[in-house]
Amino acid sequence: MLGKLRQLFNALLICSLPLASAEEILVIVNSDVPVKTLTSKQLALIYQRKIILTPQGTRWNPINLQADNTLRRVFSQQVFHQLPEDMESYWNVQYFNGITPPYVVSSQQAMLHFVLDTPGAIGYILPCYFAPPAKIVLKLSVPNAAIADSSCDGRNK
Amino acid sequence: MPKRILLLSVIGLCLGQTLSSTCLAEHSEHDDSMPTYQWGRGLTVPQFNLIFGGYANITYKHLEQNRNSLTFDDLSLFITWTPHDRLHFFTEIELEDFISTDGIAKSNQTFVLERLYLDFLVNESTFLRFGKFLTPVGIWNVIHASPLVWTTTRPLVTESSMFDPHVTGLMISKNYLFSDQYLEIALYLDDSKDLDPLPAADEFENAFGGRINYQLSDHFQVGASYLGFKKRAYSSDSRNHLFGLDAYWKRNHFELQMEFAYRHADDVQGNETGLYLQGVAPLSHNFFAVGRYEFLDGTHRVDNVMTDSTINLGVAGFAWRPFTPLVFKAEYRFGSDDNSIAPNGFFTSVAFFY
Repeated sequence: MLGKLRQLFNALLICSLPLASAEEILVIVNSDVPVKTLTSKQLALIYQRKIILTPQGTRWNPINLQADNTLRRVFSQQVFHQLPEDMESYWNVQYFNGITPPYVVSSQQAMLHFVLDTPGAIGYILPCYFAPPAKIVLKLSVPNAAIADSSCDGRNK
Repeated sequence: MPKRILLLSVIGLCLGQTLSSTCLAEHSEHDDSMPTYQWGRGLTVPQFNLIFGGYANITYKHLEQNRNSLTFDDLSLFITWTPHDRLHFFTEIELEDFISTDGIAKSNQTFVLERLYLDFLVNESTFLRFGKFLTPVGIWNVIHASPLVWTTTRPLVTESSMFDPHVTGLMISKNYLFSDQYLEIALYLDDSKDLDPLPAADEFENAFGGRINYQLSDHFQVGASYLGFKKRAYSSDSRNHLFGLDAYWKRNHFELQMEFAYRHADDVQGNETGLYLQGVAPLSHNFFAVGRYEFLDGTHRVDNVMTDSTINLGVAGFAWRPFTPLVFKAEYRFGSDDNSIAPNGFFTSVAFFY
């Protein structure tokens, strides 16, 4: 019941606020990935481990924030239309085939560092955390209120 | 018997609560040097690109016309190895029905090599698979592990009397992306007679087949399967031809799943038609109602004897998933007039990934 209420609340937040107050989630990749843009569906398939190789033949390395992180939850709603806990049954099936979910990091700073240092890495952060030479391949628009507690804490935007 | 099940359930819950508070969090802070264990996601050894895991299942049956039984009927070990970006090795070794109220089975009757294959990733949309893998017909057979399915009993149309659940040979799989829709096409060849290291008496001698799976949306997918095969148990040259359709819909924890199959052979193996329709509905947090209707008609192989019958049956029960890797199931199967194929009675089980 609590999960359903949470899901409904997040969906209402995403759908109800005007675009003028929208924030962006940047999907970033390591500089060696030969991809300029990704669609939301391609991003979903990479995170679901259904697209495993990049066009150059190296393995994609998707990275998540922790399941209770607000940015993770908004990202999950935007890309998979489900909350992280709603995807556990999917990952149970993948485990049966020897496939595990993406690794998890504890912060957006750690996310950026991992993407910068790891070939094939793909992750997501708020714009204020972005730093080159990571590349932006997709921007997800979400209402400001949906990720209010994932703010940059005084960082320059 | 119910006391043993209750005791096992309590032990399982206590263990689950302990493990969930310490290990259920996802893998944190990518670290190449340290092995990590997560309940339901196995032991990961990043230094060697290895993952060890598996599942277990215990079943109790109270049948109308047969003896009651409590069986530790599945203990499965997975080993995954990814030595290269383009290579994925997987094996599943299983002990089946090795401890029951009827005694301890002999090891040569219980040890099963369920899967052993190597995937080569050709490109981002194509892979080749060589080895022993689950026959890609329908939905149930490729996800038949006890912690993944909602009932203790298996739909008749998906059982090994209809088609061998394993292929030993070569498969090519390719996927296509159309806007938000996803299409997977697989073609495969089986040569179990020459390739299977541990052959079973009732498996394929050889086979070829294909499957199309079309994910129309996040909530709905449909599939079609074809399988042409010759069984090892029959010396005639007659081949079986199986055609299948399936569909799966899921939204807000409600599920509907359907499979239909028709098998045809020109000899004593005859023809067979079967289907099931299963629904799942959430009753409260992690507690679900499950219902299934099944139909099977034609010539069925029972204990290596071909018999003709028509079966209509129902399954009604509940499933409780207190933690992601753990499920308790209880159901009643009714309506079957064929005790040898589908005995009526009460079935309950506990299954978990470790």
